[in-house]
Amino acid sequence: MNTTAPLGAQAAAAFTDYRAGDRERLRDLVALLTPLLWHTARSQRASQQVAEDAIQTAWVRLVDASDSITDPKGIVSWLVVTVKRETWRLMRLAGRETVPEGGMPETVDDATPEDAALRSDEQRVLWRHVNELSERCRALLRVIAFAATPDYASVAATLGMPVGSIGPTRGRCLAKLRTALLSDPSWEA
Amino acid sequence: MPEDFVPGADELLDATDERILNRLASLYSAIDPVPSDLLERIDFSLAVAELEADIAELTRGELVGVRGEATDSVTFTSGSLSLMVTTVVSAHHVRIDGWVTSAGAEVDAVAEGVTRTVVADEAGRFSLDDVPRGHVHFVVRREGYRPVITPSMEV
Repeated sequence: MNTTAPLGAQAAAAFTDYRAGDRERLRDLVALLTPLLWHTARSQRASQQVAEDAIQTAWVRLVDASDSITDPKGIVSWLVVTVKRETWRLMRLAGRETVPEGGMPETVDDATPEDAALRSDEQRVLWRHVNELSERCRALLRVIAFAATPDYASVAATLGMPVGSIGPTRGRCLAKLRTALLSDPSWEA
Repeated sequence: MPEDFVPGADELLDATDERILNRLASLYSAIDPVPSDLLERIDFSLAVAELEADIAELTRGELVGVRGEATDSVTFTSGSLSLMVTTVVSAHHVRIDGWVTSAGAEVDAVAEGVTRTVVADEAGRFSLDDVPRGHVHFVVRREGYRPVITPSMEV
């Protein structure tokens, strides 16, 4: 498998092989796209449990619907949308059924730059600037970071934030982050 | 000029943008990694959905942390069907000896990236020699029944 090919093209190839009867390619597809889907769900402030449930549901629906999906190139967007809707649905359900103790569910937005996970200075600098952005921008950038450049435009559009009609333009969120980083002497550029 | 104008927003992505996005992906992978067993659980859900299978329950033994040379037996049950397996581990592979309460049943051992299939003999016994170490689950097929799938165990 050519791992440098765009995510959408790799996914379409794996899905096409799977539909032709190669079940192992479904595993490849799951391994390829689950990180993107994880961060899609978590960027909506879903708890770990909700994120896991939403992602499993989306995959099962893909298998159930696999015969009716006409354009394999569209499955990345299809999965992102399905995970996002399922995440919202589960969060609404959870909100109705339980009174949240201590406010919002666990999210990474509560992490601090001092967290052990942020090992390098570079990551701490990046984290500081990311946290200066609006929540909407953070959510968008978090997801497209896992989509790779050629898929940036379609994934951003799927998330309701088109980034340009003529080509993969930077968009406001990435432009803001870029400007902030490039003017920070502690960022290596 | 719109109020929300951001310089550079309409420019095409370049290598610097790609570098920033790659670093962002590393950052989020570090602070909020995909749970290590999520892929395994998705694969299992998909196997169940695809096969329209019944799910067997573990009724005896342990599914995880089995790293010795040979395991105690592990038993799965679904309705009238029981499946008992023991494993013998070598460096990279595992031998699985099993017994199923249905003579002639077809048993798949589904490991990461490979599926081994065997037909149980008239006493319900079967043996698989070269299953890779890692997670494995079983699918049992019988005439006239829905397939039965077991939870995955670590071998």
